[in-house]
Amino acid sequence: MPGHLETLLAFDHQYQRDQRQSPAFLHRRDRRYALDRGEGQKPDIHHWLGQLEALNGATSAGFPELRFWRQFATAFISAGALLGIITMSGLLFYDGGQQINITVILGVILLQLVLALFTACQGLAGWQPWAPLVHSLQHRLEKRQPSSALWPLFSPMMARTAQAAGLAFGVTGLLTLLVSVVVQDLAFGWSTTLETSAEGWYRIVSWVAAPWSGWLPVATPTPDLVADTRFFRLEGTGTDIAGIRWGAWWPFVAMAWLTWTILPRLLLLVVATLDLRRKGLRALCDHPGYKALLWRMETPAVETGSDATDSGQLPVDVTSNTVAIPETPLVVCWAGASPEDILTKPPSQPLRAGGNQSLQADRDTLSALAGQRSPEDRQLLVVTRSWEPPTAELEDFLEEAAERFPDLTLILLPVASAPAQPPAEQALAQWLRFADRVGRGVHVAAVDTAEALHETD
Amino acid sequence: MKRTDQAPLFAVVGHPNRGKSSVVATLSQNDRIAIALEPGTTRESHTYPLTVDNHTLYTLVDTPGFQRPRRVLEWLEAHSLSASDRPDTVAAFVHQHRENPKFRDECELLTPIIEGAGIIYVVDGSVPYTAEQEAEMTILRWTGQPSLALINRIGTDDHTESWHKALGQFFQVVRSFDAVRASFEKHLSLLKAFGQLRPEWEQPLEQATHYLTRQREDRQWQSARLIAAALADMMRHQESRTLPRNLPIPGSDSREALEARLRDRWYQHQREREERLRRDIETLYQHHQIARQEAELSWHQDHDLFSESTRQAWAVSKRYLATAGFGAGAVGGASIDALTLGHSLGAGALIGGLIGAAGSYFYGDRLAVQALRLGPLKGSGELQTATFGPVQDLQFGYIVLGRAVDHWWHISERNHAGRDPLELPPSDSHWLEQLDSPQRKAIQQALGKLRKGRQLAPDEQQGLEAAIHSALVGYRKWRADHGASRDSMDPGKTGWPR
Repeated sequence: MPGHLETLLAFDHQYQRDQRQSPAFLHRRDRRYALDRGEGQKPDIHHWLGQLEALNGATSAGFPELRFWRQFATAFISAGALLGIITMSGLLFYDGGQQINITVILGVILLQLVLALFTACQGLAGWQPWAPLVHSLQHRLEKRQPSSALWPLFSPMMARTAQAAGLAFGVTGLLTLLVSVVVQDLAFGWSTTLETSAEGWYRIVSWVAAPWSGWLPVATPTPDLVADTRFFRLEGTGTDIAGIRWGAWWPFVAMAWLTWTILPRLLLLVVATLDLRRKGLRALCDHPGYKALLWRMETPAVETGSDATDSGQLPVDVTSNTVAIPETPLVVCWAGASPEDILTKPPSQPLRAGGNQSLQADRDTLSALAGQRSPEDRQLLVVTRSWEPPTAELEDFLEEAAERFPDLTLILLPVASAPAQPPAEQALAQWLRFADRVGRGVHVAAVDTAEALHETD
Repeated sequence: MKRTDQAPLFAVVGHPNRGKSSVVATLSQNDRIAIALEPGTTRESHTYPLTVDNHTLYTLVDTPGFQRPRRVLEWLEAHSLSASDRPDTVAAFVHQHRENPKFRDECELLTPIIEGAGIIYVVDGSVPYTAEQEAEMTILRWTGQPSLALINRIGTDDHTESWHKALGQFFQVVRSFDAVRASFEKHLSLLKAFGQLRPEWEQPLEQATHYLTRQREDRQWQSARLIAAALADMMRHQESRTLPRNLPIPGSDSREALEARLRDRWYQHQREREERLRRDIETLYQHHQIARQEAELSWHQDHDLFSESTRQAWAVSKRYLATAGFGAGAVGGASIDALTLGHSLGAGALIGGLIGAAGSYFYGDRLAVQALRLGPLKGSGELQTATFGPVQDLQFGYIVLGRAVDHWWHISERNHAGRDPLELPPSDSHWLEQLDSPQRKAIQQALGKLRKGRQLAPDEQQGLEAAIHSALVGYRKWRADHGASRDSMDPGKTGWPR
């Protein structure tokens, strides 16, 4: 199971990939996941990422962003371990001429404790004075900028690394102490330039030993031991005291190191790890893609049919032209159109067809035309409203007329709402296309634009 | 045969070119539906379901128009004995003529109806009522299906009254609905009216309106996020270029040319980013076919992001810039002085140092961008990076926001039946006037941080998004309150083209 940092980075990578997808697709995908997961099941990012990975047939190729941090942490911890050995060896350096001063060791323990607490505070507070240095190192080593998803976590990550290094320092220091105790005859004592009495110093070491004095008396200094092991630089080695007394301090030193260096580091490492986990979860929740993901999972996918594309074909270009309005007495008004103001000699009682007339009335109109026409008539004018769409019923009427009067030319005259004006270009175009579709030599007539302008003037 | 256990189906029928498709386009939020196709060219029915998590709540069927209604009616009358057999007779007509090309359109439009669809009969209220459509209305009445008539005004004339009277004789419900200009609330009201046609349709249509309302609210939030993201990009943007060390010597021609080049690229990026935001908002609202008038050449005209008229429309007063950080200040709008965007860009450089209200006051009246800056030498010391930006003037952020809010309003209020080019006439009120002090402060503080090239913290980002969302809500409300008296500001009306 991946850790929280890996989850955060995997989520960030998925978020970056999702930037290229359409929001509608992402909503469908994530809503589908939420519905498949079932009612009442809280969305799980691990599971969601796992499912996407499985569906995409991809396997996680690791996170280069973390590789640097792992290497950095390993180096830092190794350095801590090495420093622990060196420090303890330095503290225990004993050439037989001078006792090992317990005061110095206690000072180092105190320094370690202060450093551990300072690191913890820095990590919890999010202070990153070292960040430019680490980022610069990362940039030099890997030629890349740190991942922005990890920015909020640099502080706890560094705190955890530092506590781990401190722990390694303490552990190797303790091991060095134990090894030294075994292989060397170490003489511990205590010394200070200050006017400190043996009783006062005893109180100090009693405070230090308080955590274990109840159950580990061997590691708890006695007043006698304190009084006996004080040494002064100018007094020589103090050979009057039994050699065993000089070595009796080592259990105290080991326990003090364990209790005040190693245990605080261990405790603060746990705190730093928990803090990193908490901040990692918070970074995930604060990630710009996280809320959007939850929204996509929670929100029903409403599709209004907006993706369907109408397959209707656009009109073809008009290929034919209009003709002049013929002078013919054979005029039929289709669906309520009127030839008034447009024909020079409009019929007094024009024949009507279409509209709300019955089909039988249309046939009667054709019969009446047959009765009206004279042999010299060559055109039949059908007046229509230009703004009305030509329908198949008109086509039927024209076909019937063409069959009945094969020697007549059928001419459509679409009139505008202002009859003296030519119809709008778009309206006229649909009539020209209609005439083309019908065939049978049907033409379209229109008021001449120049004439219309003249009349307007 | 009848659909009683399925989601309601509504067949949108009518005479050719009476706005059926525009009604469907608006209700289905689909601007790809071909409107005003050639009448008489054979068309098939198209279905537009509204689904929620793949569960269909209702389906609209866009049908071809009646082509031979009198012939159909003649056939029906010849095959019917009494009023009770009329629905069966209509079904028989469809079965009889399914393969007949002459009645293909009629069969297409009647098929969903005989299968149980509700009838939405669309007429054009801008042309006078004539009795010639009575044949098709009679056929629809013969089907016996619940029906609703919609008076959709395509043109400017208004004959709604006469249509109302006539349609009332044939249909259960008669409604007026302007597919191009109707508000979202009217869409919902119409859908609810569909639900009234049959008791079992009421619940799915109620659900549909609920989900559509929620979708609209979600889109508003998503718009605020998109605008906030674009604002952050534009405020923080920096143009950079790596060059030989000797090229940008101070005072040299090459240095000035370099600065001019970077400045032009900076302008270009800002315009393109704004355009990307606009496309994102349009996509969010399912507008894919908006006729665009923008082109590089037009950027130097009045509606350009950096034009004087843009400044006059969307800039804020320097007093506002000085005091908004405290959550106070008058917006001022067009009356501001001394700002000459486009001329001062790059001329004045404000580099750090002055922050807060005083800095805003003194430098807010000109758009200052961090002018050419040269980075440290790289590699062998022969290369260095020249940068231009980010903008230091908060005024730029307010102009970007104002244009974004205004564009959003036009898109969110635009119906999918609209086919006019998008036009963005200037507003006589500033979007900021609708905001309260804490939100103004949140915007001001976010802009202040962004101009330093910093990223916003999550809470600041959320605060900015919330403030922009409030601005959207307020601006919509203001537009709604003033829209009736300001026809020139309605979407689709004439004005300044984008």
